[in-house]
Amino acid sequence: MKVLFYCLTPLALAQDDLQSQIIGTKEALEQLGVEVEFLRWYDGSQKGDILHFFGRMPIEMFQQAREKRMKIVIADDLTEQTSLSAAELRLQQMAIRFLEKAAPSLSAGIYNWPVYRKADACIVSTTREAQLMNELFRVPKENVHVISCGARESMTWTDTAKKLKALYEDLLSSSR
Amino acid sequence: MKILLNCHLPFLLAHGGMQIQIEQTKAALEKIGVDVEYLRWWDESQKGDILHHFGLFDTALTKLAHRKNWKVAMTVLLTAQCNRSEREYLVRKIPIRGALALLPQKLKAQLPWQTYFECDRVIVGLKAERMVLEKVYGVPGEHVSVVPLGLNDVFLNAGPASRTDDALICTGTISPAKNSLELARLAQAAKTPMLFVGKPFDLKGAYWMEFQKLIDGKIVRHHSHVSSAPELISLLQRARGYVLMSRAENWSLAAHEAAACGLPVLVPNQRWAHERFGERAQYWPANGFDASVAALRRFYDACPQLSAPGIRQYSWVEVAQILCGVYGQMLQPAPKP
Repeated sequence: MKVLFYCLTPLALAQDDLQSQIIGTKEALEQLGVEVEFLRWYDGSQKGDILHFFGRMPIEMFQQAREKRMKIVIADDLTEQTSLSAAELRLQQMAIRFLEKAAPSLSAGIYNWPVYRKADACIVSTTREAQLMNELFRVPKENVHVISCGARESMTWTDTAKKLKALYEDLLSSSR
Repeated sequence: MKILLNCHLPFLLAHGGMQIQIEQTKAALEKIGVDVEYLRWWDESQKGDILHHFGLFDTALTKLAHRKNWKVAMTVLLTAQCNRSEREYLVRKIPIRGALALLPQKLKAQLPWQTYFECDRVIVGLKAERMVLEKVYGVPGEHVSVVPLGLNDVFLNAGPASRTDDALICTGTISPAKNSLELARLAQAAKTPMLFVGKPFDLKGAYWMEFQKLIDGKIVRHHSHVSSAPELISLLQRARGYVLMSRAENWSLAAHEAAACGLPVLVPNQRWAHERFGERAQYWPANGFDASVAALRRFYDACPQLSAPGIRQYSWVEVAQILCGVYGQMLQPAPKP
């Protein structure tokens, strides 16, 4: 099993929490014996079974990864949405539904919402975000996994990595 | 001056023109002494002056780069857009300009087009693409640089072609985007032998299965992907003529390679092709199977009398020199108001 981590935000430009999330998770997974590599976008010969993407994946990339028969895990935070009021959330939900019906390919191309639904697994940090994944983006509940990130120096990184490892194994065994 | 090259679409997922463009650009920039690296997204300590991104770079990321004092150049491919009709431009211009003018800032920031205005320079290969940016999106002309694509020196120095084979040639991935299946059917109907050179996009896909059924070794021939340029040049130079029937292109390195190898070309009747080949190419009719069969047969019969389009071609080093000028302009301090 080989996992490729990918994120479109260069860590040199990112905030510290994204850096520690990605680097901490990678180190913890490696300690459990999982082979993890950062995806080198410029390396056409790199191989992987699972693409673990941090953020909302562009739909074009999603489709190409699917064509390569990779399993796709999307880890995203919905922090912005969790801070919205019920009315604002309802409004956002209606806007998403409307755009997905009125202009499905345009809205998919711009906002990439369908990737959450189509991914093999979505990872969020809190149960509230899991609920929002389902309500806003209609991701089946069984595809949303609450796996919070550990603090780098504590044991919780190992807990995060153990849950992720189990998830990866599940995804690969289900495809066999 | 240190340049960081970046692209969101990994080469392991898609091989094609963009990969060649990035790899050749990097090698040529290095050759003329520019300090250039691929952006390592995971490397928080990587430094640079200009982030040259291939594809659309998100507005939010552009702002982050600016905070770090990185300038952002963006090479975009407007493949489908640059081949549309005037009417289609108008139909697109109204909602796009409307959205850019009227949407609240928060929603506007999520529009992919907003980044054309946020980045420091948009780079395109064709004047037709610059026209789309100006006309449809309202990007100021001085914000856009037209930088041609280059050709590998081995193609530029290929010399005259023998053109001794009876078959036309079509190079590129066997895929719906290249209309490979349709072209194979046209070749059968026109009884014009055609050699397809290229890997299937998906070995297990239905498209390739269907294409395989048409390969008969006589009219429809297939040569799997060649990895060395001399081998490809040898195949091209033996062919009778070159045929391209892609749905849309914005430059087509493959057609330029064929032209450099001395082949007459039959290309789609699209804006990119007219800009690059003008009167020196043959064009597919607008539509209709029978008209296309006739055009292919006409091209096949005329090939021995046709010469290669002698268009201006650029080496990658020339491209790197043009790019270097663009980078230099970007790093100049903004004039004081």
